[in-house]
Amino acid sequence: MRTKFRMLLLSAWCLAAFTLSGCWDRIEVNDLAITRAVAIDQGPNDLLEMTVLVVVPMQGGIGGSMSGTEGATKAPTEQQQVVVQSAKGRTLAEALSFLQLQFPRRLFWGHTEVILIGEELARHDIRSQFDYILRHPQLRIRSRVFVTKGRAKDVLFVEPLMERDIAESLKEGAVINEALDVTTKEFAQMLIGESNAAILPYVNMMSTPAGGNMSQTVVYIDGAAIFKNGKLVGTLDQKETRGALWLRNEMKRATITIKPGEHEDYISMFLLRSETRLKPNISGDQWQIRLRGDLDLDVYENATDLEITPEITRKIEQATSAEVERRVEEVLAKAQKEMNADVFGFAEAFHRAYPSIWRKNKDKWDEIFPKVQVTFDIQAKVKRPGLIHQPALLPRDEIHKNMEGPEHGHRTSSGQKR
Amino acid sequence: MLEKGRISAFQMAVIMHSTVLATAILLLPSITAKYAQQDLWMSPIWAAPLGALAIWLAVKLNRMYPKESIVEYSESILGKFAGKIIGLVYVFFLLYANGLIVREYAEFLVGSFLPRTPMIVITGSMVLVAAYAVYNGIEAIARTAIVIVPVVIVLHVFGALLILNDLKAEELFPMFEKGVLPSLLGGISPLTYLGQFIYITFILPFVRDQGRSLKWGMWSLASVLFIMLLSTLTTMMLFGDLTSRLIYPVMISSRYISIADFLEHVESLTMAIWVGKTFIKIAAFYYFSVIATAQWLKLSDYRPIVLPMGIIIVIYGSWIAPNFQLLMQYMGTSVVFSAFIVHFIIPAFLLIAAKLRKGFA
Repeated sequence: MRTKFRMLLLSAWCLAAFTLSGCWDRIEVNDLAITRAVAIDQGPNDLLEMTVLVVVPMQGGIGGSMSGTEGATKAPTEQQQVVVQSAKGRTLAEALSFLQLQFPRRLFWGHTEVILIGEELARHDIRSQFDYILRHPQLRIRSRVFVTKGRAKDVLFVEPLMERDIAESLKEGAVINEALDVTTKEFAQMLIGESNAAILPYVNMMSTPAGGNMSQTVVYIDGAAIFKNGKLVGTLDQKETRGALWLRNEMKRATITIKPGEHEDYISMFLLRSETRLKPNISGDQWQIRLRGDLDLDVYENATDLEITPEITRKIEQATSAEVERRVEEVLAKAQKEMNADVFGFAEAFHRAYPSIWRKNKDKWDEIFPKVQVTFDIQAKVKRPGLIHQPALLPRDEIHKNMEGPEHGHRTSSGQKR
Repeated sequence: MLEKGRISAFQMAVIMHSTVLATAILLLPSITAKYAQQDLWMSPIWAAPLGALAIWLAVKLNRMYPKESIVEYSESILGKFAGKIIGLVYVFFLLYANGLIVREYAEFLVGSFLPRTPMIVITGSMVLVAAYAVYNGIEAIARTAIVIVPVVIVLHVFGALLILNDLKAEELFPMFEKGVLPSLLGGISPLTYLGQFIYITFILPFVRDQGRSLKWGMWSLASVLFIMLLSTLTTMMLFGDLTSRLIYPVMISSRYISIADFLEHVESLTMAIWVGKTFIKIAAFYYFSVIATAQWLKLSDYRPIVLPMGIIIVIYGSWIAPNFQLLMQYMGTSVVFSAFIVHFIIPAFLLIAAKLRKGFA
């Protein structure tokens, strides 16, 4: 009995050894085309156009370039070749199947960092396209999502100036600048959220001269795209986007430039830390949001003739709070009056604080949101004046310790420290 | 007695930790979130007292019949005929549960990582390994569990720490938005898992220090509850309303981990947790199944039926549902009721009957 069982185990072991080492889903790395970025555009006749940027790891740098059927192949950077190809289909999966035919290697989604949506497609309902992105087992939901001005496809052809490919360039651009940075997961959460509105970074391209007749193209994040019910309804410029970041508590890096009091010259500060919270309040029919903010700043540049005394510091802090309020009001005016898109989480804040009132009114949110009154409680704290406390290069008698001095504001030679 | 080996009450607790938790951990947050929404983390807490009840029932019955399992003492309590019927219920329910578990295990691997691999290869290889553990008895299973479970718990806590930065506590609010009912309804699913503590009835006769079995049973429950809370809280704080739409939120959350652009793609961690824990679970349920059958048939040795039962389990795994959608529907409907009867009603009924019998005799 026992020996029989052992024989059986032995044969089973052999079977396992053969099958486990190479299972059905084995794919060698050199059979893979690793997709780094996907661009989705509206094609003709209601078709979707899917463009992928694929990196092909090479053994040793092979120079020169080849030409693709519909796309183009770019010169390899050191040891990596970048290929851009596109195909059309009724669904993304169908487009992918056509796309696959253009590759001798299997497309692999596991390292897709960036998903770009063309502006035209974004104006249609993009929720159905995102089903594929969440459902496919290979795609990671940490990929970043962007909307592009014009065709998304065109961005993939741009030669990045610093990073190894455009996907890395966009991802790092969002991360390093700590600008608006939305992952697939966060985008999906916004789309199914209480307010049916979503915000995505908006990508633009710019040509800059690069010596001689040459020019180079820079891809950069130029504000934000606003979605309502899955459709693109408008864009915010860079300043308005900053306002939105304050409301969303995503402002992590900023240089704030203000005029202290009535003074005509500027002081610039660097944001060390910021924490903003939405404090909802409903009294009767009036829905209010109080934006409570705590900011820590350092002075980085003082173009005025003021010495940063504790008294002046208070003035600077007040001016900073007012500046933040102004920025936020700008974006609120646009979001509330023009787009009626709550991308700041007001709906969630009311939902959490007033669950029962919210449940009765959530269907009317589109009517309520434009009327929500926003008040401010921004506490800016200037922590230190940088490495010098008096204006660096002004003669001693031109420096003021308060703003009430007789000569204050009359200094004409303000150009000397620009 | 069928089993020559003896284990300690602590070892029993370790086996039960992964036996109860294994398959629960990946599917539970999603199923529970459908009912409980943001209160999802409360659901396991509501279910915990009933888990304790299952342990208490098994231990109480074991105190009255220290050398027998539920299949055997049901005959002593209810007489030969009725006792055999109760025993048969357990024999078949355990086989059914085995099929379910093997299928859940394979569904995750096939659905997320190995889409083209035939399911029979995955279930077959796992059952074969488990068969070896079962063949060597409860001691072998206990020792394997002692090696695997601590590693898995550490991986689990580690995974939760890595995702900490992306969690948003406000996703948990408002609490009790629609009263207690949603989280109570959500508790039905963890209840099915926590009820599996009743199966210590098959281990208790082989426990050396039976006096401590209640205490260690409760510690096992506490550890299960801890991991359930950890995984429901992290998934809710990460995904919010999205949780109920994802099938494997715990796996997706490990994919979301990104520390300094460097520590990424750690879903293999989840896979390791899954395979390690599920191995213990399958081995334990396989063992319960084999022991129950051997006791019911009054065999002198359980080993000859290990492999035949394994083949049945693999086949059950394929037969139990034609597709994943129906599997999930079973789990949410019929399994809830049948499991409740097997885990709570029958043992409670047996305990009352046994007390009455002792009272009259």
